[in-house]
Amino acid sequence: MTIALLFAGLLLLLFTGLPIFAGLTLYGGALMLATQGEIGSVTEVIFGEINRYLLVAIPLFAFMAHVMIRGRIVDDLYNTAYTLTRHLPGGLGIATIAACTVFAAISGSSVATALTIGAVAIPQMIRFGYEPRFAYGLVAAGGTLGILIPPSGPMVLYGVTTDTSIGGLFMAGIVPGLLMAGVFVAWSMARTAITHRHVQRESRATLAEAAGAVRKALWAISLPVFVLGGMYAGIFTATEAAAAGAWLALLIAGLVYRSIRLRDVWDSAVDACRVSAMLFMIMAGASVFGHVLTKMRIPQQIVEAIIAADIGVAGFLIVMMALIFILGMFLESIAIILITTPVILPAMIHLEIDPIWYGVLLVINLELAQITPPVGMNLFTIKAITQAPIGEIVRGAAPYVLLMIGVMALVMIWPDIALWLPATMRGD
Amino acid sequence: ADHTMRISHQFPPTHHTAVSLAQFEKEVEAATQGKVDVQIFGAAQLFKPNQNHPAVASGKIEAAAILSFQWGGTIPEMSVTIIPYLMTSVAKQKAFIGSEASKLLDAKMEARGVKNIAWIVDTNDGIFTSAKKPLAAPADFSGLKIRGLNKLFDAGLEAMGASPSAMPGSEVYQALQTGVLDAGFTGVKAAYSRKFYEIQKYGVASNIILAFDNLVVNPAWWKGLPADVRNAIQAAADRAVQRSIRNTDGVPPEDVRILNDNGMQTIALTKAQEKAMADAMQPAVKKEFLRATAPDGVRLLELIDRL
Amino acid sequence: MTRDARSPGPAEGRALRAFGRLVAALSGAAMALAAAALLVSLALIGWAVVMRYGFNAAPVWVDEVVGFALVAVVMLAAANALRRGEHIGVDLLAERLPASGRRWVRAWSALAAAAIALVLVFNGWDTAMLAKMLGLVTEGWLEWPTWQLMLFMPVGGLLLLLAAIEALWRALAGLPPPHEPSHGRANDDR
Ligand code: NA
Ligand code: NA
Repeated sequence: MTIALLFAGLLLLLFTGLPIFAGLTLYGGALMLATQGEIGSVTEVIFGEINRYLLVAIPLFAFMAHVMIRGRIVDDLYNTAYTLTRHLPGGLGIATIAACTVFAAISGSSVATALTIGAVAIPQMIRFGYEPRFAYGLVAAGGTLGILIPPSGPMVLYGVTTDTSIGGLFMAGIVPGLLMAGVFVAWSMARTAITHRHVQRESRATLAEAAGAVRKALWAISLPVFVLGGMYAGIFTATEAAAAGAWLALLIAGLVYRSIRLRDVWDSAVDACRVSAMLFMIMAGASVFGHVLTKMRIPQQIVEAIIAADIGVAGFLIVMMALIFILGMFLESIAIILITTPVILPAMIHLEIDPIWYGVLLVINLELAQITPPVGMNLFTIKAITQAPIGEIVRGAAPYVLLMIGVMALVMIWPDIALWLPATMRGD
Repeated sequence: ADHTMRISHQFPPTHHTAVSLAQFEKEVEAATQGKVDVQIFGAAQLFKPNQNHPAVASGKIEAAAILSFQWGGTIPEMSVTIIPYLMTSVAKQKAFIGSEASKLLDAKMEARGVKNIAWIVDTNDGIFTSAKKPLAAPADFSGLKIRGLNKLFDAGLEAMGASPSAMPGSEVYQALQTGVLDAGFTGVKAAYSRKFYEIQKYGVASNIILAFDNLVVNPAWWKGLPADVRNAIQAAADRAVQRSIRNTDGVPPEDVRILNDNGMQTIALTKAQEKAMADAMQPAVKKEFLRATAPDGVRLLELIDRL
Repeated sequence: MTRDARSPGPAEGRALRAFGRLVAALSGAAMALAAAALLVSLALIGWAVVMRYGFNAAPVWVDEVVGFALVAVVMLAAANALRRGEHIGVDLLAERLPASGRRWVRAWSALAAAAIALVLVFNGWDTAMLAKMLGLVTEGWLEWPTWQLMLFMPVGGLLLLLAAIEALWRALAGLPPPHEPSHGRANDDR
């Protein structure tokens, strides 16, 4: 009861319209003051949250996206995508999900994926006649593939926290990730077929047209290929891939397209800093709130109650997933992993739940956290890109909440969706 | 409960120190008839490893278990235990705990605002993992890109011609897998629990370093406890130390076997091979150590020599 | 917010205009430092990759410096982001309010941001001074005094406080925010 009130209080505060970072930090600080008699750790926690080398991928990918946009590389890319998919319902929707999937293989972060693809795709989808709300929801949801398809920041953190194989987790994310992308594509086609009759569908591109279109976008297409290749060839790490991508975008825009001036480079850096500051301040606020919850032992108490209820593996998983879904409305993925995983690990071992399977379910749930209000990092990312009302973005993303819960249920019912690939790779 | 003892640490719940601290919690609560409520926040859920020190010193929590070389440049003397092959034998390890040398380090921690009440042994071995060839002799390290341990230890790797990288721990697994790095270094048990056998073909284990997990407490809180409570906590901490001490020299054969069983060709170095490694690494590491710690470092090395 | 911004409203007083210019100059300068820090990070990471892959000589301090730069980016850019209305809030309520009500939402938002700014200034200062007293240095090769990096928090907090005061002042005076959010469009000021 107290716990429900705790979350309801934060919900009310956020709905007054104050900046999210301020709401989370204020509420966390006030709770700390009320329960611990001090706010001493607030800036310690904030500093710890933003002084993380791995997070540099977010401003670097944002910078890359802005360079691609200012250099007009993306116009070619989307013209090509349009040519190739113009005969299909929701053609550009398919292209956008495909772009998210490819980008997810480069980036380990949902926000970086939504930021990069969103900045590029949303204006283009609107240009080709798609309803804005549809484009917002598609990219907000598509961006979450960033943490399910390897590499994945949250999987690394979960793996380290639980001593679970990071390689195994990465493998286990591939099939559910592609399944999720497939579900998004199917939804986007079905929905466009019904509601987007006005979006022109033209005749299928001839082979010559298709080849010409691909040739035109060759440089833009080569960017993810080079970045992926470099990463898997061992030239750079997943975080360095963001810098590699940014360098490639600069080279393509500067040397091939000759469409970018130094002023554009500077403006891209300014934009990347501004959006990163906004996102990181929210993450910092969420970590303050998470820190206080942990110190008050709230996750501990909830999990102890769940374990005491003795509801078996299925019951345990369903209740845990429901709990994480609720936490996901307010917290950020890193905080959720840190405050729930260590507490439930003993129960997982006791119930003999495969940690890789649980890890995949957890990550799908963390994807949900990115698009559920009031605190959903991908919602904010789309908001930062488009300045659309947040309600409009939430409504656009709502169908995907159900689709993701559906995929999570499938993985829960058939663990092999996740576990088959790592088992095959091990040769079991 | 009259007193709360909140303990933060970074170890995953399966780590032996995490298990031992859970035991410590039970013992303290039983011995004080519930006068002390011990609350453990493991796996860095409350504070990151480098935040434990300021959190305890300022009283935001009462205690933390801190890996001895986590102190880094803040107390460089604490890294004396990772000078390769200096004090890893069972005899030295036992003699060190409670010795003048350990008291010197206790005083260093006290000067940084925390009181150490337990030298819990974390590990006295380490393993070099690699993809192309086993790293059993100094010459094998030449030209390798390797993730070492910290600035001090890496000085020894550089002395053997390797190129150490300071990449964040969370990136190491994938970097070893894709070949961004050629080799890694970790504890022998950790090589198994962190599944390094999935990505590395060779492992070379030896008693190369000693590491402790120091249980540190806030000095004011500690002083303010009634004597019987303080004694009960200290007694339980002492038992945690006893549980952690290794009683046989050498790398535990079962730790080596389980890596071999999982496909990583793992060997333990012979005494002669260890000596060759020590001769190659020690001078450079000692030099780096003394650069950061003289004059106390000189005295510390003398004290340890005499153990 | 958009409608509110377009309405002519009362004129801007001289004091407010001068204060606005000061805040714009300071937060603009801080933003320039942040952008420079990001570009330096990009250059450093690229150089580190080349050195490691090409010359087998990985610079050991780059990751550490990039971590520091990130703190600078966030703290130095936060005030500018506030001035440009980029800090996102749940706007469901504000959307349903008349212009006068929105003014109060803006005032309340500015007040909340000012409160956090004060936390960053005072608590951030305390955290930095604690780190100084304990002699903390950063993990890694540089062993930089941690407190110096932590000073970005009070500095960023001070800038944020100025931007919040400006926002509060404008809201109470019935003036539109200093900027429309302009993400993804050309930068018209700095
Ligand atoms: Na990914
Ligand atoms: Na959410």
